[in-house]
Formats: sequence, structure tokens, C-alpha cells
Amino acid sequence: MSRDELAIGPAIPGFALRILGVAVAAGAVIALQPAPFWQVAAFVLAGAGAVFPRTGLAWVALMVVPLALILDDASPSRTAIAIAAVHLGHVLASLTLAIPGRSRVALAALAPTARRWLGIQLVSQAVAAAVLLVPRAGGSGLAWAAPVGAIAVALLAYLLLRRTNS
Amino acid sequence: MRSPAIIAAAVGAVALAGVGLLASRPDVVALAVPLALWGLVVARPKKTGPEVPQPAEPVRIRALPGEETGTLVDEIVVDAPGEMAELEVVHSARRTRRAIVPGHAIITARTAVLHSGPVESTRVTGRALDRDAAAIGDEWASVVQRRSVAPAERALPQIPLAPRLTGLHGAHDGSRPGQGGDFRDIHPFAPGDELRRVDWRATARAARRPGELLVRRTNSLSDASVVIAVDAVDDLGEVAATWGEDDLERSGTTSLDHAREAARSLATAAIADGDRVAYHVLVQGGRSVRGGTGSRHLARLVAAIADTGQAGDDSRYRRTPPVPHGSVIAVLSTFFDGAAAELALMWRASGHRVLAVDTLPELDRARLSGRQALALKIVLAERDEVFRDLAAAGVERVRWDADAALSLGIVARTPMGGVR
Repeated sequence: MSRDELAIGPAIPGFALRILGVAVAAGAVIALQPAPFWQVAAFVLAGAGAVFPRTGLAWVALMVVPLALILDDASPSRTAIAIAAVHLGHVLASLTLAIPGRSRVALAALAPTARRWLGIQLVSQAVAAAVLLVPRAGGSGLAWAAPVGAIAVALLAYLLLRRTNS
Repeated sequence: MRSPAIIAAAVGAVALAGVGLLASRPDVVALAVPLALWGLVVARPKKTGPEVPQPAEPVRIRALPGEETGTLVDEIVVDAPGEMAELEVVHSARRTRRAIVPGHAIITARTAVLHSGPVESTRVTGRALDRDAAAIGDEWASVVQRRSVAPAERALPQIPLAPRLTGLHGAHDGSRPGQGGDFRDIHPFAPGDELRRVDWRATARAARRPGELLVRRTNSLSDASVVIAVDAVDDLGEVAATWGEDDLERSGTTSLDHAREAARSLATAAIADGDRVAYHVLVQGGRSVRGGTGSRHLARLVAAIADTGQAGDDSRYRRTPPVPHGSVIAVLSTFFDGAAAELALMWRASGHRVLAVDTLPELDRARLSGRQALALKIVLAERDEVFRDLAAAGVERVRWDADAALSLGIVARTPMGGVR
């Protein structure tokens, strides 16, 4: 046994992040999508994405989650699970792109990531709850929301594009 | 460098919001919120300017005193411009470890000591990772901590004496009359003799004329000159299959380990006898320590010995090191290369007492192919030929093994050609 040591405090192996990414994608699909085909597809894609992070298959696997939402009626609990899973899956995919599987990751190094995830989740879950729990107006009462939403999406696209290129 | 994760978040957020709007599904639109927020947060421009202090060096290494023997402890101070730092730490040029640590952290690297001599105890390189690894910094230049590991010391009760003793100080009986040595003779009083040296009893008994005084003379104490010359061209391990591979983890004890241990043991024993010890590394630009004695000189010698590492193949010495007349010279080498043997023969021809200290470890011939075993047999036979030439010229051979102290004692009691 080697007596060479690198003491970095409490740590997890780098591949644990990849396993967690697969678990998040698979767990979300199992919870939201009853069709076995989509479950198997998501699991295989997430597994391949974990082995070859640069292929971006981890994000492809996460696409099954919104698909599962669309194929069923809206529900606050399903939306909450989907928001948490998509966000966590995305963050883990981002980390695994840069962190080698054979490295050790100090838990303290993941603290800013965990804080950021929690903050964004609080806002996102609150927005989702507000959107879903507001009673729907019948007829054309909320017809104005469609163009406002479209403008909001365009604004979001512009903002993200600007930030990405800056 | 920006990670593709930012693009993925931006595209995902816009796509989910668009699909949610088209399908009139607010839950799908809500799914775009975390991705959009994440993209906006991590892609925000970083604060720069004079008010934001930038770390001068992202990583530094500090050598700590070893907590236990056989381990080198280094403290790695990380001050990276990011939330995380990806480090690649190489222990003693043999084992690489990767770690993700916080951007500002102090971690400890412990490296097992397998060999004495100079060693790169820790080499660190890395890069900064910021905002969930969405921003990846450039790779840093390597930072290296070099240490010199002092060899073990073996007690040598007796070492060969130089053929010619010098000076009026030391621990050896000199050949000249002086003070401090054993009884020499009874001699008529001469100007310069101390009155307290007058032997009244001998004067009463043996004086031939009235007024004649006889003094009791003693030998002076002299010191010897010891020169230690280390041939650092080869560093061959006991596992012959690792020769030429620079694999110091599987090589076992190497010839330079033996050479450093022998040099330190000889230096310590000689200094303890009050002798003057000089040290030379037989390579081009090799370190030399001029002759001296005393504990401070021994500390200088040990530092020089610990700093002696393998030299390149093309670094044979250009100039023969100067040695005092009538020295005992220990040439520490594997004697595969003819240079050390040539030097030993030349010094022997000059009248020095020369010890050829064979530092080749006991060989492990396992895992050698047939060709390699044959090649080894041939080079060992050539080496035996070198030792025969040395013996014929009067160079005494000592093998540095478990019985080295005994062998040196036997050589020390054996008269040599150039007796004083």
C-alpha cells in the first residue's frame, strides 16, 4: 500500500458525481414517466453521458423530463420534482465536464455549488408554485399572457445570448 | 474558458419556455426558470479592477518538518481565482493524484521516502474552476518543492588510515616529536625543550657529563586526510530489470543510496577521529567540499552528500579533483563506467591509499529475459576485470553491504603499499 497521501479533508471520488447524475436522471424519469421505453432511454443516455461527459448526452437524457410533463396533466408535485431534477442534473453535468472521474472532490469545494443550487431552487419553486396555483381563468381572460410570455422568452434569449458572449 | 454547460442552459431555458408557451403549459415554462437563472448567474461578468485583489500565485508549497521518519510533509497553499481548484499533485515524481479543492485551501501532501538524496517531494499544477465549473481557468505553471533527504548513517568503528599524517593536531600518533602522543624516546636537552619535560630520574641514571639533562619526548598527534569521491553517473537499483527505466519505486535500494550512506558513514567516522575530510562528486560541475574537520564541517558534508543525485550520461568529470598529499581516498562507484576506476588507478599511482567502495547493491535477477540475463552477466564480468586491475595496482576493494563495517575494519588493519 502506498504511503503517499494527499489530505484534502472529507471528500468523494469524482465518479460519484457521475453516478449521482445518472441517479438523478433515472429517478426523475421513473417518478414522472411511467413508459418503460422512456425510462430505459433516459437511463442509457444518462449512463453514456456519465462515461463520456463531452458528448453532452447527460443533457439529452434530461430532455425526457419535460417530455414527461407535457404527456401528462400539470401537477404541482410533478413540476416541483421536474424543476429540482432538471436543475440538479444540469449542474452535475456541468461539473462532470470539468472534473475527472479519477479525482477526489473535497466536499468543501462543492459548498458554493450547493448554496447556488439551493438559492435558485427557492426562486424557481416559488415561481412554479405561483404559476400553477393561480386559478386559471376561463375563456379569453388570460389571452394577453401569450404575447407577454413570448416577449419574455425573447428578452430571456437576448439576455442569455449577451451574457454568454460577453 | 466558458464551459458548453452555459450554452446548454441558455438553449434549454429558451426551448422550454417556447415549448411551454406553444403548448399552453405553465409547468413546462416554469421548468425553464432554474436553467435561465443559472445561466444568468454563472454567465455574469466577473468583477475586475484595482479594488478586487488578484492572487499573486495561485498555488504555493511550504516544506514542513517530517512528522514521522521516512515521510516528507509539504503544505500546499491554494489561492485560486475561483470557487474551486483542480490540482494535479505528483508525489516524488512517481504517483499522480488529482483533487478538487476549494479555491482557498491549505492541504497536506505526505510523500514516502524511498531513497535518500535530492527528490522532488511534491509537484503541483492545476487550474481554477468557477461557478459550477462553468468557467475554467488556464493551467498554472508547475510549482515544485525540492528536498534533500539525508542518508542513514552506519557506525564504522575503524576506517583505513592515510599513509601520510599531517599537522600537529588530531587523534593519530604522528611520526614527529611533539605533544599529546605516546612516549617516543629519551633525548639530550636541546634549546627549545620545555623544562618540565626534563626526566630527572633518567638524567640521574644516564647523564654522562655534569650538567647534562635528558628530556622525555613524546610523539605529536597528527590528523589524516580523507577524501570521499562519489561517482554519480549511474544510479542502479537492486532489481536489475528496472535498470534504464528510472523507476525508483520498484528499483529497491540503488547504488547511489549506498554511495550516499557510505559517504556519510565514512565522513562521520573520519571526523570523529579528528581527520580532515573532503568531498567530491565526480561529474562535470559536481559539488566539492574542501577538506575540513569538526562538527560544522560534518554538517556541511552531510548537506552536500544529501544533495548528490544522479548526473546525466554526458556529464563525466573534466578535471580531476585536487587531493592533499598522502590522503586516503574512498572512490564510491559501481565501477561499470571506467572513469572512476581510471581515477582510482591514477590516485594510487600518486601514492595515495585508495579504497574502491563498490556501491552496487545485491542484485535481484528476477524478471530478466534471457538476453538481459546474458547482458548482465557480461557487464558484471567486465566489472570483475576492472576490480582485478584495481587490486593489481594496490587499490583495496570494499563492498558496501551489511558487512561493510567489518570489511573496512579488516582493510584498516591491513598494511598497504604506501605505509608511512
